[in-house]
Amino acid sequence: MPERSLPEYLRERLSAALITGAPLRAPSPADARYTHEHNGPIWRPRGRMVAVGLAAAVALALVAVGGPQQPRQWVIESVHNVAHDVSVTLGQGTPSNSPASSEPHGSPRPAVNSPGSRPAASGSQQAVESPDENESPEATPESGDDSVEASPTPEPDDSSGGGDGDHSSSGSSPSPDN
Amino acid sequence: MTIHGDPQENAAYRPGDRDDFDRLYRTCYPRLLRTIYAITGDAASAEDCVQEAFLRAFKAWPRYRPERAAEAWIYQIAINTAISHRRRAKLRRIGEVLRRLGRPGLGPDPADGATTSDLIQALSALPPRVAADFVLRYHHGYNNREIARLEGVSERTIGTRLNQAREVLVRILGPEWRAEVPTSTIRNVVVAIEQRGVSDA
Repeated sequence: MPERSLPEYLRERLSAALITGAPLRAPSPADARYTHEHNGPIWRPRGRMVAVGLAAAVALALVAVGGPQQPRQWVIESVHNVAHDVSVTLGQGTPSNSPASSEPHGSPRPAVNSPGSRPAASGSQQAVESPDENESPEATPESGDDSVEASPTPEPDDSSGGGDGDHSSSGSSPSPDN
Repeated sequence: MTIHGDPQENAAYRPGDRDDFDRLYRTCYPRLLRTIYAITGDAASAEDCVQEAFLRAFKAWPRYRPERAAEAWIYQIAINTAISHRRRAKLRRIGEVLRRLGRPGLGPDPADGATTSDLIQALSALPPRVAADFVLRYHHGYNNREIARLEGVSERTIGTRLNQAREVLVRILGPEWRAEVPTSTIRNVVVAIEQRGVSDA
């Protein structure tokens, strides 16, 4: 289908509509968006990331140096363990070192447990610092927890002793109802 | 005026060179603005699209391959930007319609009719590439071969699009957009009709 040519007066009308509707200012690259916005989106995330990283490092350093005893120890141990893991990972990438790598994996585990060891230390410190007030409330829930936790361990014995016991107990409960 | 440029001219555009990109901006901005205006139907949106297209192009400028015409490259970016803009605008309109369900309609904004001509509104109703081809052909004066090379399609496709544009314009604006006789002939006919009308009266 051959294309039909557009008469001149319609072309002029088209041009008039385009020129009138979108008046053209002299395009200056200095006013273009790419001149102003190109550096922004690339630089801002970097600056933000650097700022956040610095703030986190400063906070860690403050806690590690000037913080209370337990958080300081925990932070130091955590940083030490992370650094140790990283050094082991980077230094022992060969599969021949897999037995050695099992050791470092074993070594961080106490570090993971080190926060767990912290309550023990804290408990001892609390016991030293406030023997009367803190121990007595904590001791009762702990003893209560122990009693609760102690009951499940005998339960398998009871269950192993016989579901009959459960049935008997369940059977005994309806019996009063009956 | 070359739409895809000579090989020598294209070789002059060095990837990553800021001065060359500024030159590309000065060269292509006017044509792109008018072309995209026909797609969006709104001058502010057209300017926004063209600026956004140049921003995208500037980010990719170090990766620009001189084998391809720089003007065709930026043209494709601008057309894609305008298509995305039109799609988002359509979604916004649908959302507004859904929000206004059950409420009295506000009707068309009188400012739209005041600032946008019927012809531009009709062009913006066309598919984006059809409207762009129409403006390139009949406003910027490129032939079908140049447009085809610019867009990487066949000349036949361009001819089909131009005919499609004419059909839609005839439907929206009237049968005068079907005219294809020389202007002088039409004017003679109009003058003859007017004179006959005067003599009849």
